This record gives sequence, structure tokens and C-alpha cells, in this order.
Amino acid sequence: MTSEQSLQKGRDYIATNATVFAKAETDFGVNKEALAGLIAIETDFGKNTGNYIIFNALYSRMKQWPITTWQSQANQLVALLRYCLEEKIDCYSIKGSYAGAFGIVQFLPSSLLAYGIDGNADGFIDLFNSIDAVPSAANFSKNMAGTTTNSRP
Amino acid sequence: MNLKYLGGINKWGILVVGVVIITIWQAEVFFGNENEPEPADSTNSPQATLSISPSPTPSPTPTQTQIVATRTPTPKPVDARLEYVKTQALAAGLDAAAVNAITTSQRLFLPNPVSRAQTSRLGGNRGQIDQ
Repeated sequence: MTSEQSLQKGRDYIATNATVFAKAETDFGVNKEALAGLIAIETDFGKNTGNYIIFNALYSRMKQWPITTWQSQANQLVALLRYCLEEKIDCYSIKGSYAGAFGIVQFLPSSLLAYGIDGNADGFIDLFNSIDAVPSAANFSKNMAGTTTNSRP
Repeated sequence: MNLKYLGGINKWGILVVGVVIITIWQAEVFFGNENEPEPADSTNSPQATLSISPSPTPSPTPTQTQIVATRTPTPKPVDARLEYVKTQALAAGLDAAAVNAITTSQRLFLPNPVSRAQTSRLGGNRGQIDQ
């Protein structure tokens, strides 16, 4: 159950990022309340984005997962390598969840490569910035709508 | 020592026994030193000897003495799963040197023993919005 306090936080967050949410609604057809709800669930509006170095978190999972599933984590590492090298950022500087998800909307690296949007057109998709994170989440939601696969970022 | 107080013991007998004992002791000291092995020099033990056998005929080319290490370094165990990641990254067209630098970094480590139950969940950091 969502408390009134949480609803108010959502309203405030949408108001603060009104332009970003409005553009996301227009571009992807996903309403702003749904996007705000997703961001609330994932990181409490960017407050808890995780403290694990995601390269090591994904490496741990890859090492520990059984032979039938470890390749999914390996593929996430490959996607993360690609993101880091293409964006020229230090792979070990990105922090996120124990599952390797990061940013305001907790994208896994493969989701970032597939659905990431450079909202402010600065040449860099920064999922810790709502200007990029909100349209990325909208793009993800639009593409995953109606699918039967796991629809979390 | 006044031997007259020794009662029935023959003083000449005592002298003879004493001389015999001293003689044996001296002989042991003298011959014993000769038979003892030389004390080992601790700085040279165990001795490493390098024998280079001269070739019977002069060689037209100068010979080189090669020092071959007898102890081979223990090979680092191959991380097959990480090798897979590197292979896939290279197949995706990423720079080999950069990939190698990241995957061999000292910063790569298993951060904590995350349980299977925990890691089976996908993504998400759970914002805990209602606390």
C-alpha cells in the first residue's frame, strides 16, 4: 500500500522534472505517474541507487551461478564493458545493486544498451540523471508492454 | 696427598692405573682429532656446483652457457567464465587492450558471498518507499 507521504514525494518528483516527464509521455506514450511509480519502487526517487561496484557484483554472480545460468551474467558483463568503453568511463566507478542494476531506474547493462535514451543529447547516457533516466525508463516500458518476459529493467 | 692413609690399597697400583688413564686420554685426543671430519662450512652448504664440460674440439661458433631455471612458476588457474566474457567482448568489437586491462585489474574481486537466493532476483534496489 502506498502511503500519502510517498504519493506526495511522487508528485514533487514529477513537478521537479515536469519537462522531462512531459516529453517522455509525448515521445513514448507512457504516463508520468507510471514512470514515477517505477522510479519510486526501484530507488525511492533516486535515493537508494545501491553501493555495490556493479562490475564486481556481476562478476560474483557469474562465478557463483550454476552452469545453466551463469552466461546471462557473463552477457551483462560484456554489455557493461561495452557501455564503459564506448562512453569512456571507469567500469569500476559505477555503483548499483547487488544484481548489477544501476541508476535511478536500476537498469541492467543490457537494458541500457537496448533502451537507454540520451535525453539531453550530450552524447552520454547517464542513468543517474533524470533527464536520461526518465526517457530510458519510458522507452523500456513502451517496448516491454504486453510482453510475457520479465518486465523489470 | 699422603698415600699412607689409603690403608690396604697399593699406592703403586693407583699410580699405574692413573698413568694408564692419562695415556689413553692423551692418545684419544691426539688420534681423535685426526680422524674427525672437517667441520662443515655453513655458508657453503648445500653446495651448488656448476660443471661446464669443455668440448673436446674447438667449436667454430662461440658456445653459450645457458642457465635454465629448474623451478617453473605455478600457472595461474584459468578463469573460464571470465575468458568467455573476454571472448564475447572481443567478438563485439571492443578494444582488446582495454578489455584486458579491465578484466585483469586488481579491482576485480568477489565483493561478498552473495547467496543464491539473493542473486536469483533480477535487478532492482527496492526503494523502500513506505518506511
